[in-house]
Amino acid sequence: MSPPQQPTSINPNSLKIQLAYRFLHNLNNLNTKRSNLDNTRIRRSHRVKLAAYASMAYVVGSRRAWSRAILWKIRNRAVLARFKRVDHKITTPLRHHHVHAGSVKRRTPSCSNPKREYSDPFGNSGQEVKLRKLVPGSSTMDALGLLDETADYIKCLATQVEVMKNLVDLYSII
Amino acid sequence: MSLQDLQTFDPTSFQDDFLEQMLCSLQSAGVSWPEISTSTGGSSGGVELFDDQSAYLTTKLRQHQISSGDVGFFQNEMVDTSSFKSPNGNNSIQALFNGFTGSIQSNQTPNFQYPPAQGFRPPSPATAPVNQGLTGVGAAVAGGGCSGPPAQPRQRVRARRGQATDPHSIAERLRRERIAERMKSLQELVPNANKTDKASMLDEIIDYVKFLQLQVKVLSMSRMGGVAAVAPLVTDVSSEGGCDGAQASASGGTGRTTNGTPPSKTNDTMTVAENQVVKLMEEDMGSAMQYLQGKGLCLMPISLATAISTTTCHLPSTRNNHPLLGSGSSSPNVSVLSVQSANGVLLPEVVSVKDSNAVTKL
Repeated sequence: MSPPQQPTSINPNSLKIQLAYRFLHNLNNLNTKRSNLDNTRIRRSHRVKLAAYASMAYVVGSRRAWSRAILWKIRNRAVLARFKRVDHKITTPLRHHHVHAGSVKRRTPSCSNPKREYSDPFGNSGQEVKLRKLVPGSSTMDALGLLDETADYIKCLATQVEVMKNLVDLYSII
Repeated sequence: MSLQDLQTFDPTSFQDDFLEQMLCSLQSAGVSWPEISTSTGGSSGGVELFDDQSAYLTTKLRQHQISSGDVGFFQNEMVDTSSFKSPNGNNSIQALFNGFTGSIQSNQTPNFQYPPAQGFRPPSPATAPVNQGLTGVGAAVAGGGCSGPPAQPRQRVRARRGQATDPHSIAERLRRERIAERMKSLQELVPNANKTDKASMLDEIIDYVKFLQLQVKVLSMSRMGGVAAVAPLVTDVSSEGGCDGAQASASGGTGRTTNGTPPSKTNDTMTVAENQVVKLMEEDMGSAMQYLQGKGLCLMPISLATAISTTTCHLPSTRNNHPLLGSGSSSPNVSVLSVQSANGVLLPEVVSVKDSNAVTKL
């Protein structure tokens, strides 16, 4: 049985159904794949968590930057781990590049008229940085896009948590 | 809806409004203006400030007047400006009006709702004063010398009263509005969204995202023995031998981690577990309990365990395994019970300890 591919923004129920299906599918794969390298190094809880995020990102697909970022991270986990171990400096230039691109885009409309008060939603309290760290793939966007991504991310996260809670309740009855 | 209303309006009351609008439109047309305060609504006092603008206007108006006698700027119904009454004389006002509307219309047609076909949506309060304030034109702006450069009127959203309208502030305002929209939608998603302050709302959002991510983590930890283990077991009905195939999760939220040892089919894991439990019990009961719970086990008195075993013995299955028999050789203080039913549903294992101090090996 395969769930219909509906746009998730229209019907929240379909998002839940798709998430549930995909998550169970991923979990099954988790258990059946014995030859995975991850078996030894990564704890089971971490694997389940990864499965959760992967299923969430997969359902949303490439529509959103955060889902793309998650999928990319998961698929290149082995490569990234190697990089992290070998040389920490490799990853940071990429991040800096992204941050610079994003910040340049942000500054051009406001720099032209320094007298005006800016519609800076984040003020100076560093909230924007925190939010960018939390929401994956948000380092390359301006404030407006960031808020948009956050909204979508929150929605999907909440649905995923609900799916997982229901599954736990279901299986704890046994 | 048309400018018919204009004639009925009291010109003086909307003088200020219209002045603002006029000057704003001219400003947006590229001519730089000083900040207009509402106090400059006085009829001739205010005019002096705007000589350039009025000059520009009048030139434009005369051009229009010369070119076309009637006003045909708006595509739909239009007031015939010849009937436009004003205390200061018809011509200048008409001209002013024509030029005003013309300057707006020529480059700002998408900004007005007058031709309903236009797609752009201007701020609605801006259009109303435009209608109402047009009557006050003549009184406010007498024809002055005009020397303003006929700048290119730009396509901009009309400003509301009291706001400057250079393109940057308009862009800023648009941006602010968009951000406010997003914040509102975020507010609906996040619970406890009664904060009016943007900063606190953002804090709330950040905390909520962190909380959700933490929830995913906790849930994934608690479900390790549960769903993940049941799935293969449902497919593998005939797993016999021993105790433990069944690591059903003890409860939904223990949040305990274990090393994901694959369910083995022998007694070895159980003895290992029990030795571990013994060791833990010697140091701290709590940790022993935690260890057990992590494995999907729990402690209970022997009497209860025997009671349960007798009831479960009555389950319709001939393939039940009763390692209870196998544990008969162990010390009476400890008994291990595990029942496996034929349909693949596994009951949680139970380890009973009568005396916490006197746990001996099985």
